[in-house]
Amino acid sequence: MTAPTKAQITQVRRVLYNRSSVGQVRDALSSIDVLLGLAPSTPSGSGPTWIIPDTGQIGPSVIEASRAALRIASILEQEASAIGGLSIPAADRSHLVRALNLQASAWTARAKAWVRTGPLSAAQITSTLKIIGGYESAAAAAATKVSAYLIATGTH
Amino acid sequence: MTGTDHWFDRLTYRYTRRQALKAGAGIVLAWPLLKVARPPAATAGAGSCQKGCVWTARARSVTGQATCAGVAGGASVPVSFLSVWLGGFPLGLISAARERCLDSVVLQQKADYYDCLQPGCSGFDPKQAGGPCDSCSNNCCACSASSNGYICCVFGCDDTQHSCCPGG
Repeated sequence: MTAPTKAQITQVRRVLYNRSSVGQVRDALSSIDVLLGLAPSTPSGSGPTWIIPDTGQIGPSVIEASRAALRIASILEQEASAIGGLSIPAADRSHLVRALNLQASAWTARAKAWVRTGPLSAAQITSTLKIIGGYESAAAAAATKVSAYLIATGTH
Repeated sequence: MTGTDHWFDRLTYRYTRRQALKAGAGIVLAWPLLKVARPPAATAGAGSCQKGCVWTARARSVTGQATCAGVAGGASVPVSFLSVWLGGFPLGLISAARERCLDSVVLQQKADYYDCLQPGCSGFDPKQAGGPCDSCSNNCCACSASSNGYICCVFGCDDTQHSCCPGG
């Protein structure tokens, strides 16, 4: 397998690190943190209304957080689609598209899990974590194969 | 049957086997619909412990977020989706352990919340570790004016002369 050219790397990075997309994802992540009470600014003891007691319906902030997660998934899918149209080695293109779509699936799974109604047993939590984790691990595995295109970031 | 028949009179009618079977099948098919889905703990009086239970569940989440920061090393600043994810967007190195930990915290809070809305708050005890009366050595009294639903009081909760809860 030949290493990608500088021009090919530039093409990919132009899609992946598009300022608008990164900004939208930042906004969506920030919204999710606030809506789910995960933001550092969340006052002690406060958080989302997961279920409205009087109706049994999912609370509006959780629905909004779910929508934000779906927006992230949509951005990742759009990036996958854009990468799919680039003139780069087919194998690399395939790995990049796969990684992005898998991450999109993880966010979609989160979005669905948050708004699911009814009780959530320990087994269901484990199963949901397995599904989300499975997508994320597979995405990471695919991304590892195309690391030459990616800007190195810290692991936090 | 005439329009003036009383329902009681209809009980005395003779029904054919076909009619009886049709009625029986109707009841079987309609049974799930008759069990009207009620919202959790919507019944009156069941909400007295909800506030404290939800408060405890949320406090547990904050502790969980801090624990997630310690997973895979790192500062003890509670993690959030923004802190875990953005640095690695879209395909960078994201700590899978922290991400899973955070997903777990969120889903656990959702599960706890549901339990809190069940009758009796699924056995919630305000004196449990991390509960509103965790460190209360006096009486743990329900108090709607309190942010966590309870107040630690030197007076008895049923003392009609004294109360620690603002507004009674």
